[in-house]
Amino acid sequence: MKMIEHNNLVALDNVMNEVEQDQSISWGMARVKKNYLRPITDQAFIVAMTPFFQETDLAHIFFIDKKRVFLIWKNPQKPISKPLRAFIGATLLTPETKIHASDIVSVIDAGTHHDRIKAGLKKGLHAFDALFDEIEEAPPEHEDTPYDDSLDDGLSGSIALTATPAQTDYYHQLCKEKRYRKQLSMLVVEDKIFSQKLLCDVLRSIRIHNNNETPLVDVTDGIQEAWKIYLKKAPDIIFVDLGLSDGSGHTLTRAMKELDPGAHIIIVTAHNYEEELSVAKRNNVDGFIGKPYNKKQIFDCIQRYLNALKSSKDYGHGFPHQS
Amino acid sequence: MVMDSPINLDNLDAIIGYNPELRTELFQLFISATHDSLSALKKSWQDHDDVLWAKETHALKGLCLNLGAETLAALCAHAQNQTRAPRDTKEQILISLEQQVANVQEALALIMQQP
Repeated sequence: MKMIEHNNLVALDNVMNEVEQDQSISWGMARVKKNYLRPITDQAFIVAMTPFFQETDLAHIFFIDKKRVFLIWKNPQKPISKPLRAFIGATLLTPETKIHASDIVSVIDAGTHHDRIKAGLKKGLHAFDALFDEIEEAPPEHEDTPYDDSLDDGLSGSIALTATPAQTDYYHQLCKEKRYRKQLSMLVVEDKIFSQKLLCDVLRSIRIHNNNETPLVDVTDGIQEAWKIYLKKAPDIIFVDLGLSDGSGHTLTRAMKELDPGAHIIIVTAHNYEEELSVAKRNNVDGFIGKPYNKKQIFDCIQRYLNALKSSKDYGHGFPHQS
Repeated sequence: MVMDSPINLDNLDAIIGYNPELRTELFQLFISATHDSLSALKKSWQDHDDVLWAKETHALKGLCLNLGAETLAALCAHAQNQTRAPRDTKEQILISLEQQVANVQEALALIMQQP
């Protein structure tokens, strides 16, 4: 891997010319708003980014001004926008920063949008920033049932794990549809990106026999966001860590079970204290997995859920198998 | 895996299967997370913040257990148990944690360099 640093917009234009001539290879491009990052020197930024670019053939870093850093990387194998977001979020955000990683890095396919990027460059930095805002890759999102945003009323601000009557009705309607879902819906509530990534990878490797579909997995790091997703999607299975960014997983599981005693909740934690176990039992959680876990433990949890669902009529899912 | 290695990747590899790309990504995320945890632990020591100390030692322990950094996980468990220990005791624990984190990061770097 070769990493080259530049410090002006002309260099960025030159590299885009190179992109133009090599259209057979995937190019990615990202903008980092440097003022959201830890106090960091240009060299430290390169050192921090180097591990990420290890598998790329070539990476350019452009320090355009004090606020912006642009990255261009050449990778013949895969788009790496999502891991890049996660990496920057984990490595460079200040601990106090409340802004999500998606707010500090915009990632675009430099090959697909080449002409627009070139045109934007000619108009200057302001237009270039606007271009990123416009064509940034949207994160994938899936919802089977349309959600009325007005249902979010009352959920902003401080942690309020309550539901309005409309939210409750909506949630219970989704629960009735669970058995007809083509894909299992899962929610991972975990505040460390490493642990998020590991568990999500396990869950997404599972196939359901009947339709060979992978589960849909949502992931979040905090109680409040988890509560919103819970109300919006009524996940089939919820995996909850106990130490979360904005409080204890016990608080979340208690609220979830109060709204729906049938919610299937698995605690995943490094805690092994009897006290924690007894709290989890009092909250009627459906499973308790200690770290380190193995694939079979996760698999068994899903199978138990499917067995319970199978006992209800009009059963829609099959049994899972590992891919 | 040599006996004195600070990491045992058997469980991690069993979970993710043969997936060098994911493995490298997880290593990088682990390194970033340990960096953050050590910073938070130093801050908790400076600010006499036992709550933060307990939270971070616990979080770091969880990461280590999933990665297979068993010695570091044990050290974190010890650190967690020493949440209300005197400052000089916790300072020594911090030094040990830094050293063991460095050992793990070095081991991961070596593995990532392998073809």
